[in-house]
Amino acid sequence: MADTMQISWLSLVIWLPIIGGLIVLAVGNEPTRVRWMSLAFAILSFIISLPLILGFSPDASGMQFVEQIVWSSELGISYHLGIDGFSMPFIVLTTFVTILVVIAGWEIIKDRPHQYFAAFLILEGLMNGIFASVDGILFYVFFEAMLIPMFLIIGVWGGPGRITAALKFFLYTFLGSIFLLVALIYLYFQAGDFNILGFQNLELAESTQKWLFFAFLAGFAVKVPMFPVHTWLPSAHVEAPTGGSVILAAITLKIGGYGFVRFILPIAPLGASAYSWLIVALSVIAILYIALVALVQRDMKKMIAYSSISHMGFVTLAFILPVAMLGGGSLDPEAMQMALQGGMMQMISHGLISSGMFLCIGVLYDRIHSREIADYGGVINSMPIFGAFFIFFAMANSGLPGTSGFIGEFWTILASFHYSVYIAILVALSLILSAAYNLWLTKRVILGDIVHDHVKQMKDINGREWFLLGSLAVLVILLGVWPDPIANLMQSTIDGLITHLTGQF
Amino acid sequence: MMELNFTDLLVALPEIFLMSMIVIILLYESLNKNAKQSMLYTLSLIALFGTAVLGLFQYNYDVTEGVIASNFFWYGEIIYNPLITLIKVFMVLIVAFGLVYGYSRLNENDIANAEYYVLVLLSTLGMLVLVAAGSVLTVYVGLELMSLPMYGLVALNRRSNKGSEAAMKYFVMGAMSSGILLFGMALLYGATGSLQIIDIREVIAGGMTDSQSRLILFSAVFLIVGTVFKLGGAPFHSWVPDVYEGAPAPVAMYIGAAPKIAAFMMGVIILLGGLLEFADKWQPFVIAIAIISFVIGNLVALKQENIRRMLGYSAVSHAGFILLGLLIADTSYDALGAGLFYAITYAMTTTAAFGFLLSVKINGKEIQAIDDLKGFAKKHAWYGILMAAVMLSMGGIPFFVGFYAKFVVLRAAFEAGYLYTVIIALLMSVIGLYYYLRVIKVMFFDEEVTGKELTIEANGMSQVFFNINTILLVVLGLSPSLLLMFLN
Repeated sequence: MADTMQISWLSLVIWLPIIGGLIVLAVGNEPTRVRWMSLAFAILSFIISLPLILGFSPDASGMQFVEQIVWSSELGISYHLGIDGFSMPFIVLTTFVTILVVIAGWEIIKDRPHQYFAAFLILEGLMNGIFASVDGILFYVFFEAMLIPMFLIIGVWGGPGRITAALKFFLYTFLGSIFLLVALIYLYFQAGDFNILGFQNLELAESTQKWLFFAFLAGFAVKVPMFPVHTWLPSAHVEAPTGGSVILAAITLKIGGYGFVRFILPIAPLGASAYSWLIVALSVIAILYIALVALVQRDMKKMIAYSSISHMGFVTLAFILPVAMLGGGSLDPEAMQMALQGGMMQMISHGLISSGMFLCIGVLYDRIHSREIADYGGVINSMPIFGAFFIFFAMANSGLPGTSGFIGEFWTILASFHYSVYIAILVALSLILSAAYNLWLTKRVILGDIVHDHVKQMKDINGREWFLLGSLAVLVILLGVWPDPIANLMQSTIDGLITHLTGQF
Repeated sequence: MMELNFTDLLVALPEIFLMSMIVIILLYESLNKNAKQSMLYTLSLIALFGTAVLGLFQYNYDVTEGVIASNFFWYGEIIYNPLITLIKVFMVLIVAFGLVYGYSRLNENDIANAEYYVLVLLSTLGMLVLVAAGSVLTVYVGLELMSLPMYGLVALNRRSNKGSEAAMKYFVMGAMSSGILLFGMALLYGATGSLQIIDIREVIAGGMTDSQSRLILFSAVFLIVGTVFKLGGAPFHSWVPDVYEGAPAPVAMYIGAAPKIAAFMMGVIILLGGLLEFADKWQPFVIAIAIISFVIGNLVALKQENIRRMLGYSAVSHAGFILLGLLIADTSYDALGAGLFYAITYAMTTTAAFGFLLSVKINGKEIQAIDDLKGFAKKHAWYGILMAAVMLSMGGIPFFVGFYAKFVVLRAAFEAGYLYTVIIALLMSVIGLYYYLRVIKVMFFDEEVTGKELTIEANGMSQVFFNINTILLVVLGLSPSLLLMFLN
């Protein structure tokens, strides 16, 4: 469509990092060379993803930058790529965050750095593939293949309990996604090919949509992760190296939310509507109960992990609201739009803020190799600049107005008012809880007097860390005060989904 | 009755060539007191690759063109068509890969003599006959020609207690299953009055009396048991782990790979060729066996410490998938291709897994426990990555051919309406993934054990073949059409 220059940008943004990763793997174990090469590939991939924003026409509905080649006619699979307002922001976020991850692992990773960086570059390509796939099996292939580098990242470079965490991560997500596969195969026999957009136009009976909904939910709820299938996330986060946590929080979780808008809502809206009460309930539990769980953590990473689950609860709530409202008979396009916008903003903003939080924890961990809250205190005395960043991200994490964290939560809560006042009140309560754990974390780690000698010796952040935290902070503020550019990019895609949904009921 | 003529010979050219090479090898060995292993090895490879080349030649040029319209030759005993030729080529190539991997290992096991090569080649000849069988008699001849050398192969290492035990077990059970199979064939003959598959089919299609159909049902059960035994499916699987563990590694590799394809084709010939009209009667039986195979294979494999036993039990679960392929092969021509695709890629993957085990040594000895591989990838990253690819392919993870193998079979099974079987198969593969991941975990995540040195001891050719083999798993994973378009 809009591909006037005849350059396959999407293919490039998928395969360049993968090939780059393989090259890095092949050049061997010389740290300096490996680092610079990886950084070069990461930056190059980011640059290549920029035309996707610049060339993206916000008014067009449907897929842009489409590429389609028959991949296997015997299997009915085609290499079909395309992006819309839902997927484009994530591709750019992926390429951007990968740069940060490479820089974050710069001097930290001493054990087999070439494999470490290669794993992240390959992971980047695979995740871009997920967001760019229009073919169901292509999506599934990237969706599953992504597990391999992530499994290795947690398992090889993780903490002491890394092996259990890695296996848990792999098996949980694999188990979820086999139901996705069954659903895709079913849809193939209905539609005749694996085109996801074609699936959306099928007229499926409500009973069919119900089981399709659960099959999709099994695949995506684990990824989000929703309560009660969230238990793999805290252990994966705690054990993963900083870069792994950042990618997990920033991108991997988003794939679950993306599945809602790409598969569940458009393909099985009636099924989703019939069980929207379930998703609402699970989301509210995640938002409130998991926030309480976060409050009692002693490990900083675990706390942020639980806070992630709680924040992702907003996403699932926001995304189910449109069909919940339609199922309830209320037709309010504005509220539906607000919900979808809110969910998307929440995902993007959570990607930035939780990355910032995990990087902050990584900075502390690199200095004294502990993530226990009790081992810190008064860090701001020895690391003032870092302390400022930490406080900033903690505030953003609790949804302070002016930061991007506020926008998504605010829109979601507003939208949920249209669905049920009680739900809105319950969800709004979580703002207090998240303020509580973030403030308490800040108080115990950053503020107060120095009680441990090792804290006294900690050096403030260097230029590399400055760049990491600074660039994220700029984006957090930018989106917080001026969310329009991103919101506009998604506008017509969201309108399209709403029109599609309204037509289904 | 058809005449035997020159075309019959042309059709059987690969088999005739292979047979002649076996005779040459036997002659060479008996005439030379100091027959060199390298010479036997070279001759065997010439035999196998020559057979493959002849097969490919037949695939490209229809040797029967214009001579005989029918596909039946040798008085109707042998079927000839391009697909069967292609299957032969794959089987022969897989055997050849196995010979290359096993070469340097044979001396240690004291089996580096002509018997090994001759038995492998004879057994391969049996497979070629089996897959082209046009009558139950040829099926039986081919099957026995394939199986008897395998019993001998398992017992080749006379000094190994485990080997002898495995050979005894395999022989006794194998002989019994052959008996059962033969009994089934006899019943079939009794009911239909013919041994030719095509005639049997016509007789059944022509309508039968009650007693006839009862006889056929009985025979179907016996035939299925015989086939499942050769495939190594549960509950007729107890020889599999013992043979995988006890036989010399090159032999275990041979038995685990190409004969699976032959056994699948045997099922296709008998059950689908002959008993298709009866499908609704025998299908529930096959479903039950497939499900039992998934469950037993995967659950028991979880607990195995020995890597070859683990592969053995995983083979049982893969047999379930191959059976699923057999089950649905009547629904469409695609589905037959799906089953074959599974069998062929499984054989390739198994060969690669054993290729790895045959290349790596711990303190100069063969790898036994999975834990022996601790920290392997630290020193030998590339081999670690290759083995990880093999394991992930077995587990059915995308980008490796194992995913598409499972996918095509499950898709066809889904289309045929076996939704619950598909879901059980998938759930069981999640369990299966655990033990495949464990190998990766041990290689990549665990620390090396001091005092245990892992080395790669494989000659150059073997390394090259292993790389090709594993990379093929990825290439076919990226583009399954390369293989599928031949099979459909």
